[in-house]
Amino acid sequence: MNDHQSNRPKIDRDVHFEDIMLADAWRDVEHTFRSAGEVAPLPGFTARWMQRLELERQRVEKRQAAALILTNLIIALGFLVLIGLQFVPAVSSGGLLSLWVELLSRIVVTVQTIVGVIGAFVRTIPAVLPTSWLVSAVTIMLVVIGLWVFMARRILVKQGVSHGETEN
Amino acid sequence: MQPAEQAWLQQAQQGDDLAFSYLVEAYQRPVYNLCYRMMGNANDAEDAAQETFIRAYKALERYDPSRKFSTWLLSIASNYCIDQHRRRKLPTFSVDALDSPIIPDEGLSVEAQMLQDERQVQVTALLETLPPKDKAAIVMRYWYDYSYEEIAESLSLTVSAVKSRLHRARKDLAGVWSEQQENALSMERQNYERSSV
Repeated sequence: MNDHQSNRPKIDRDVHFEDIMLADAWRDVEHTFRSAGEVAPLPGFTARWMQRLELERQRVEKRQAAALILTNLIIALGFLVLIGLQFVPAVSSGGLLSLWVELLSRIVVTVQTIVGVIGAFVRTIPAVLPTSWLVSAVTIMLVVIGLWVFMARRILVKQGVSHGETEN
Repeated sequence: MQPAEQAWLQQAQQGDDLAFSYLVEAYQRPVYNLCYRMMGNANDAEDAAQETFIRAYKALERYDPSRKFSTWLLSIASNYCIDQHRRRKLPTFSVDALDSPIIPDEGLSVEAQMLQDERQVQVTALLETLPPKDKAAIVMRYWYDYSYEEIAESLSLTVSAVKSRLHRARKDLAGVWSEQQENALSMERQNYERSSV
């Protein structure tokens, strides 16, 4: 402890000296930076940029064309498979298409039923519940949604900090 | 922003390539300089600067006129360079940087030009010791005198994070500089001793 006490002024002096050294060095670095000025690109930068923009456009057009062709190809293949299946005796006799239509119609009927039930429920609530209850329910819903949004923002968006910033 | 530049911007937002090319002409220097300082060599800097303008052109509809156009451009450039560093794990200082095409200043003598080239190499070597984000902050601060708020906005950091990054970067750079000076001095001393023997 005594050693520490007696050495402390020396340590303080050393730290202070180091700070002064760094401050001097930084002054030199800053001078070097400021006197270095701007580095310019080779002449013709804008012309090269125009060429690059044109290339970029061509690339995008090609990509869009490829996507369109691929989509059409997939759709055509799908039709081919469906038509082809009709030629397979086991499937064509059972009517694969009718199975699909039945499945789709079931889905549509189920969705319509659910929507109808919810609609009827919503329409009957005002008649069953007093207005004050309804207002309270809406208010609570809004508060809860507000809280959810706030929490989601806190979790998903680290405001002002990006790429795993950890300091502060 | 000059009134002419504002007009170019509006025309470019309506899809006028030529108007945007005037903006490229006007802002190529700061964008290229930032890219050069961040990438450390001319080829990567050219590529990054070109890509910056392509991205800016594509995102022109989303440009918020309340922001400074140069700040917006430098923000795109710095984020692109940071991404490149992260993706490619760019080697730090390369020999290419030594003979990179730095456009000579017409007003400088040969000697002054050599000194300037040497300074550029020195600057590149110093900046290469920093992480990409710190490098961007240093360039924005000491080349373009951006405020902490502007740097924070450009790099998607908080103001206090910018301050602490700059403080750390300054300290690191000063340390590297002192080390370099000491090495140079000891080399000189050795040479002197050798020549006197």
